[in-house]
Parts: sequence; structure tokens; C-alpha cells
Amino acid sequence: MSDCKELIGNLSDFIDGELDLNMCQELKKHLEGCRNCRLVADSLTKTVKLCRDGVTEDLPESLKESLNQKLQARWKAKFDKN
Amino acid sequence: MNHYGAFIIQTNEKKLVEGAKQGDFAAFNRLIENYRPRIFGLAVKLAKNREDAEDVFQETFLKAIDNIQKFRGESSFGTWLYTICVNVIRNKYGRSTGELLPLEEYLPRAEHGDGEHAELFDWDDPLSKLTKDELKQKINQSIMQLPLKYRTPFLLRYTEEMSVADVARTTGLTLAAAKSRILRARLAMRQSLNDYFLGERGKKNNVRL
Ligand SMILES: [Zn+2]
Repeated sequence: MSDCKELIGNLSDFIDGELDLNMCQELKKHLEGCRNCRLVADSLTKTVKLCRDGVTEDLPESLKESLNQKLQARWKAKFDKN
Repeated sequence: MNHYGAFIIQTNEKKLVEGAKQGDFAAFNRLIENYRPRIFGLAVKLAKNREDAEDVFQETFLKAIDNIQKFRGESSFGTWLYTICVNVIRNKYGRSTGELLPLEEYLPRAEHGDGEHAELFDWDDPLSKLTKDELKQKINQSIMQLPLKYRTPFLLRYTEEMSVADVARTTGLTLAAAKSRILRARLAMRQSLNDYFLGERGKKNNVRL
């Protein structure tokens, strides 16, 4: 049976589907028999999922408006020279 | 998306870029439309405070106007915008000096097998007990604790859904460095959340005693 420590470094790639086939098979086999590595894999998956879902900041209308005005002015300065 | 869909988007983008380069403001606006909320969300997480975030957000698009002629389509327009944003942050704050621990420090000292391990537990239980706000606050805090040079590639990869190659391009890192930073950031984030959940578990259990 392979060493957890050796495999655990590959878990992130495994989850992202970026591990080569051989390594993937070895890790899969290991995970079937190792609850601890399964928990690490699961929490690494959830870490990314939580960051994706949890922390969006809405763009305020006032800032959108302020940006539009600045962009318009900058655009004019750039293209309306001649 | 299928290849045909991607092809249509690329063709549209190319036309819009050509238009923008010739002074078509509407074309430029179409190009940036979908990226405005995304760049803002990223700026909030990369900047030190709200005021800086708003500056970085606006500066990114102003710089895009200034440099539109230099965009050659070697990356997608979106990746180009992210690159500008990352550079605006770098110019504002200088080189990121913070360091994370070596990789090994984030690997749980797991012993092989099915035995109980104090630091390893199912996250579903603590997750179900926390409110959305509690969780959001903690995730934000953990993200902000990452040194900028790790936080940037991590967010580009996982909240902006970039490929590792695009992360490397955007940050100016080698592929290997980008990969390594993304991984360390992910492990550090896992550790930070795990510690928090462990503490919360302790708290809730104590209440019951
Ligand atoms: Zn294991």
C-alpha cells in the first residue's frame, strides 16, 4: 500500500482531473482503502467549492455609473483628437 | 460549451476588438460588459480595502482603453483584462513579501487506514451548523490572510476558473511556479477552514455539556 504522505500532494491535481492516468489509478485505489485521505480529498474539494459559491461581491450601480463616465471621457480623449 | 460555440465567441470577440481599435466605443463596451462584475469581485479580494478596490477596478478598464492597440489576441480579451488588473495591484502594493509555509506543513499528518484522526473529519457536519453569513465571513477572512502572491493565482484558478497556463500568463509566473502557488494556497485555505471548523465543533460540543 502506498504512503499517504506521498499521495496526498497529488490530491489537488487528482480532484482537478489533471493527474496522469497511472497516478490516477494508484490514487483511486489508495482512496478506496484510506478514510483519512478520503477526508482530505473531500475537504480540498469543498475548499474550492466554498470559495466559488460563498464570496461574490455585487458591483454597485453608482460605481458602474462612475466607471462609464470615466471611460467615455478617456475614449473621447483618445479617439477624438483629430 | 462545444467547439462551435467557442468558435463563434472567438470570432465575435475578434470583430469587437477590431471595432474598438478603430474607435467604436460600443464595441469596447460589449467587450468589457461581462468582465465588469468579475473584475470588481476580484479587485475586492486583492485590494486592501474598499477604496483601493474601486480604484483598481476603474484603473483596469481605463488602462485597457490606453493600451487597446497593443492587444494582439494572443490571449482571450478576458485574460488580457485580468493581466491588467493584476498589474495594477502590483503597481499599487509593490512586490508581495508574504510567504506561506512549505508544502509539507499543510499536509495533514494522516496515518494510513480507517482509524480516527483528530484533525480529519467530515466537513458536512460543521457546515450544516453554520449560518451563511458566518461562513462567508470566515471564507473571506481566510482568503484575505493568504499573502497576495498566493492569493492572486489561487483566485484566478478557482474563482475565475482559469487554466493553470492562463494563470501563469496573467501573473507572469512560470507554469511550475503558478502550479505550486495554487496548490499551497489551496492547502493553506483548507487548513484555515479546517481549524475553524474544529474550533466550532469544540464550541458546540461544550455547550451541550
Ligand atoms: Zn491515505
